[in-house]
Amino acid sequence: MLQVESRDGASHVVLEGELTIYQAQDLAQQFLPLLDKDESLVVDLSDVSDIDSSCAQLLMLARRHCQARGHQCSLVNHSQPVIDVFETLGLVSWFGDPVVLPGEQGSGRRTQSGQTEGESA
Amino acid sequence: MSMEAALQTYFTEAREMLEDMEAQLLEIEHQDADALPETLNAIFRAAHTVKGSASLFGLDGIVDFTHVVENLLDRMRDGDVGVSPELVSLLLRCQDHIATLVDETEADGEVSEDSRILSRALIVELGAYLDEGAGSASDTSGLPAAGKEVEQAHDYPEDENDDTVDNDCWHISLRFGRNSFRDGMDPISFLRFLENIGTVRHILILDDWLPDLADYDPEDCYLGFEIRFMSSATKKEIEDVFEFIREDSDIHILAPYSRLSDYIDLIESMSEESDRRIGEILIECGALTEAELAKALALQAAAEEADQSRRLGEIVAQDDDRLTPVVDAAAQKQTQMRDAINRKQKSLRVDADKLDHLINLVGELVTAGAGTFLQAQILGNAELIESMSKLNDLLEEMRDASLKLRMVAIGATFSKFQRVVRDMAADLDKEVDLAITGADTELDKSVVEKIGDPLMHLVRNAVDHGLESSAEREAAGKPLTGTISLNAYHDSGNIVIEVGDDGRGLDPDKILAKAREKGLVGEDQQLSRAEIFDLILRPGFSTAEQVSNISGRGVGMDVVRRNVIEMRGRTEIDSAPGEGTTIRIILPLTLAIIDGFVVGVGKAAFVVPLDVVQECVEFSEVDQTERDGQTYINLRGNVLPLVNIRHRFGVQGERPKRRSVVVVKAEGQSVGLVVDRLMGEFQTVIKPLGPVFTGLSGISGSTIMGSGEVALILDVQGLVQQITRGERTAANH
Repeated sequence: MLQVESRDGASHVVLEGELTIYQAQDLAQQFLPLLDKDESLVVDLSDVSDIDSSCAQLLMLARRHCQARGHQCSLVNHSQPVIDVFETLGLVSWFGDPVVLPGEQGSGRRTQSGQTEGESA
Repeated sequence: MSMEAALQTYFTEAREMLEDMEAQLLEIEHQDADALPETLNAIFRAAHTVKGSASLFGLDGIVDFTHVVENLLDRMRDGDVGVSPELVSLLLRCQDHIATLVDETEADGEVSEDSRILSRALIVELGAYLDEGAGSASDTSGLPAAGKEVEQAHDYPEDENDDTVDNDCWHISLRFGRNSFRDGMDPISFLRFLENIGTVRHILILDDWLPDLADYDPEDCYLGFEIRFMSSATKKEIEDVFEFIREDSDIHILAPYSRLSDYIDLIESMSEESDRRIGEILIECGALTEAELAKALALQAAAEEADQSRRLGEIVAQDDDRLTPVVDAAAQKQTQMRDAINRKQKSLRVDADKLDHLINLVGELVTAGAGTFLQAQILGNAELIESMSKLNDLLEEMRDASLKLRMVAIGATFSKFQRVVRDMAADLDKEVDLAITGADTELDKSVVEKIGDPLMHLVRNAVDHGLESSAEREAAGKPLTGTISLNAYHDSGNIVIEVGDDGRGLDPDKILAKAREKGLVGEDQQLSRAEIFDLILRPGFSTAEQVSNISGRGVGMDVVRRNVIEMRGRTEIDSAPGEGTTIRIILPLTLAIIDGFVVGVGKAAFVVPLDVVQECVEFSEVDQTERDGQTYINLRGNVLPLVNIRHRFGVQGERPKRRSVVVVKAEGQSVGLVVDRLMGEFQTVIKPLGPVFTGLSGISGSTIMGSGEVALILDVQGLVQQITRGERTAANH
């Protein structure tokens, strides 16, 4: 589900597999304690095969908690399923992390939604 | 007059006014400049009366909308806004919409939510023209420059222009319930489903309820969303998306162009959040502009000061005492106008049921009269016979007069198609004229009501498929403007209604090929031209290569055929390639009573409708020639096919020495009916045959004679058709 590695004064967390309501409880137990370490957090989402609103909400909580303490909490390497869910929920602009657009197929649609986000920001 | 009755009168009057308005609107485009002001006046008056009377009854839904239409009409009257085809189309749509509002108000006592939304959308469209006019006039408020007292009385509470938020999207506020995740209700699925019925223009996720780490339960849902949603769906359809979470979640849906006050309600209903916060959310998500929010909050504050529960319009109306005398004057003026309208009306409204009852009674009376006359003849009392014949004359007049009560000119039905043709021509980008003849042909009201649908299909089909595109017409050397003709006339006890076009005409080969392909006609089956044309009225048959949104799906034309047959009528199609198509609907006048000519065969009596009888001649078997099983006689040099009633209906009994031929004419074809006896004229009340006999050909009904005997009424058209068809079959062999 997740692997943690501490380097350069930040926790690098790699989330993996399905992150849905069925994993929410476990994920919270493993992930939330990292927030108490009082250092910045980098969350790698490249191996997330599925995510739902409950786990997205967990990431929101993490972001807000870190910010309140003056730490960074950045999400990186969004996988396609993550991008899809974030776009549907309006989370791309909420997090404001750079999202690397996948090339080729579907790139037109993403550019478009990226523009919409840009306008509203 | 009770309030209820007065209201009923209003609905009837309003509909008349709206029909009038439609007719005048359609005239505008064809009028020269001189007549225009008068027409505009008439349209304005119609709208004004509809609105004025509605306000007397407090029908706000109608008043609010019609008021804006009236403003624009007033502008047009003053020449501030020019007439254009687009504007006329818009006004026609508004007129339709007012009619819908009137219908809904009558049915439910109020205007539906969907109609309110449409009202707002139309008002925005109207606003564009009002603004255009405002540029040239000194008055910039978007209201008529000719500010009459009457108008001003309504401006405060009704004017929606200032109050409507300039947002063409739905606004959806969602606050998911705590247990949504546990119940399997993931917001993602709802948002994705929403995409099926429209486009999410903007979505804003709200983190306001996310708790601190200590209070966080990973299986609780703390999410909220504000969504700008572009869709043509109805409010109900959008609500249905969220049906499963309705109970636990907080859902607010605001229509496009909602009033500012609706947003105020929304802000107030979000009790957990501060008003300011909600306002900011609405701005952030693009539902409101900053100025609109400021206005809303100011209005809200003012409203709270005055009275928390009162709404915007009421506040203005109630607080302004100056308005009272103006409102009174308005009411008085409206009463005067109503009086004027009442004086103009010379007609009387009668319930259709009462009329039917009267006609039934008259029918019975005629039968009873005939019976009594027969008795008088048997008694041989000359004075009684004389007074009975006088009575019968009167009964006859009474019958005619009472039947006329039900007769209405077909013109009103025809003129409805002006609009249909106009709208369709615009949609299809064709130029089409509608030529109406025989508009004052009268037919039974029940027929008029039923003929509307079939005619609509035929007219639409003629415009869509019958007429070529302008380019094709030009290439064929025809006038660019196509003509659709509607015609009605009486023909021997029938009414004939024709729908014609001067378009491309029907191609018999193409139709036949298509019918064979669809298995409607066998490969080796030979059909006459008329029979081939008749195929286009078959279910599932459409020659249109492309299915347009107007017609061509193969439904519709068979509906025409079915409806016509239900009315005891039939259809005929004439067509010449390149010259056009005429579809003829031939209907009986559906008179409950006909003048009949009674003939006897054996012991049975048959009634022939008198108006098809041409003459009676003596029959001699010697003159008769036979060919292919069909007998003919020579009638003054013309071939007259015969129908032997005795054979046709299998009547038993001795054949008398002397027999007669009744020459009848239908569909331009004369036929001789061979009968035993001629029994004279008889007024006949048609009794329909029971369902058992529906398949029976050659008989159209039955009647009870004065003597109490039953006589069958011959379906002369049907008999003539059988003969002509028989001839054709013979010719094909």
